[in-house]
Amino acid sequence: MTIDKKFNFTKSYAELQKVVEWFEKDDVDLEEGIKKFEEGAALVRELKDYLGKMENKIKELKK
Amino acid sequence: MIPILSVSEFIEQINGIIAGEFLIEGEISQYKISQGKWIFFDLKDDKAVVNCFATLYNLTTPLEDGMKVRVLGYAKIREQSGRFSLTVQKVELVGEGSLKKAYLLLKEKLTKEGLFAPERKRQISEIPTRIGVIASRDSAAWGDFWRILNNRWRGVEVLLKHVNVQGDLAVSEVVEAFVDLNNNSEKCDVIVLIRGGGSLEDLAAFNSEEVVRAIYGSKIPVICGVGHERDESLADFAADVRASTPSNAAEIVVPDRSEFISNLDFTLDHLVEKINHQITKLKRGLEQKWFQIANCFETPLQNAKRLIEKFNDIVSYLANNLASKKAFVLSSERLFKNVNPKQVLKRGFSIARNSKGQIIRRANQMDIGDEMMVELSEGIIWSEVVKQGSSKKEKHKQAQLL
Repeated sequence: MTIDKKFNFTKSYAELQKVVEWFEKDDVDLEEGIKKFEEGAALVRELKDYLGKMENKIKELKK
Repeated sequence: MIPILSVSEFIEQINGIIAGEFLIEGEISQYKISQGKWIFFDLKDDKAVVNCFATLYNLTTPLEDGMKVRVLGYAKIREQSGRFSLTVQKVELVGEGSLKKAYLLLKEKLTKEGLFAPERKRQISEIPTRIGVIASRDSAAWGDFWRILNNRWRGVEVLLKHVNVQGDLAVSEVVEAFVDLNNNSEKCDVIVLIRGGGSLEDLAAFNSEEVVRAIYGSKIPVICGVGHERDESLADFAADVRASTPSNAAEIVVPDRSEFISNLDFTLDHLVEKINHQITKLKRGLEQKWFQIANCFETPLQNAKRLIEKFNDIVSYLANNLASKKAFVLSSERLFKNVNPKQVLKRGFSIARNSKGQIIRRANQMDIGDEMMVELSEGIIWSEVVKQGSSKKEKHKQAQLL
């Protein structure tokens, strides 16, 4: 699987956190909950793929 | 012949002779700052002393009496006072003792100013995408940092700003690196300042006021990992987060990948659990609703049952009642048959009545000569009273007759 170059790790992670937060409510709507869960699962998959495929880069800052 | 000079000329000539820079090592005494601008102190050894003068602007190294220093300056006789003094351009601390003292003095000063205040420490972003690193590209510190970073995390961009971490250029280069990284168009989430361990002299740049102020002034949060675990530098105190070593800085700046991934898995498990919990909750709710509905029917059902029982009771009561009534009627009929006077007359009894038709029950109701009527089973006889008797004896006699 190739990672979309536009994939923004921080943004996706923040989205995942939002999903988790959504589930922290006392009463979650089951139907919406399943949708949110699928959303969360997709984000987790993307984040894991990203961490599996990417390398760290060095760029030297010169004046 | 010796030429005659004016005082001014004399001093000018002498100043000319002694012109040039001198580097003198000695101990500071009588250190004082005048008008917040001028610094005066004496530089001495066990035999001699020389007055020194400097501007506060020029001399930022914190000094104190008793410090061993190396002073770079030029000598001069002051025209107005005729005093001989050394104008100081630069002071270098000599020996651990002096360095330590200067370090403590600066630390105290900057603490008072609030540069190390815990309340101004900023949060480091949990997962940075771009990290600015200020280090010497040839140092072990950078090598360690990069290795640990790669072990732990992926997908991060490091902007390395190479600097000399010791020597004359160190301070200005580190300060410049902070400026460059803060102004860079590709914004870093965090700046990491690292160098390996060393003596207080080696770490001088990281204890300099300029570097401390550069860290303090950085708009981007700073992690500082200088020296070994036990070393401390003023740069450490000014940074938002202090790492004990360059490796530790890498550990702080990015999370551990495997830990992160297992946390992601845990997060999903948690969500599944949440959904399951919700399903159980809904199920329980439904059961409760069903129970409530069943309960609504329970009372009327009970009432109906009770009504039916009551009805049954009444029916069986009525049935019993009818049977007993029937038996009563039958026995009454028999009784009536038996007590019918006509029937009695048939058995040989008769009914005596007076002339008014009243039944005669006692003999004394009648007088001799009274007419009476005797009703028999068949027919009536009219008769007259000829004798009366009411005694038991006579009754007996009569009975016998009968």
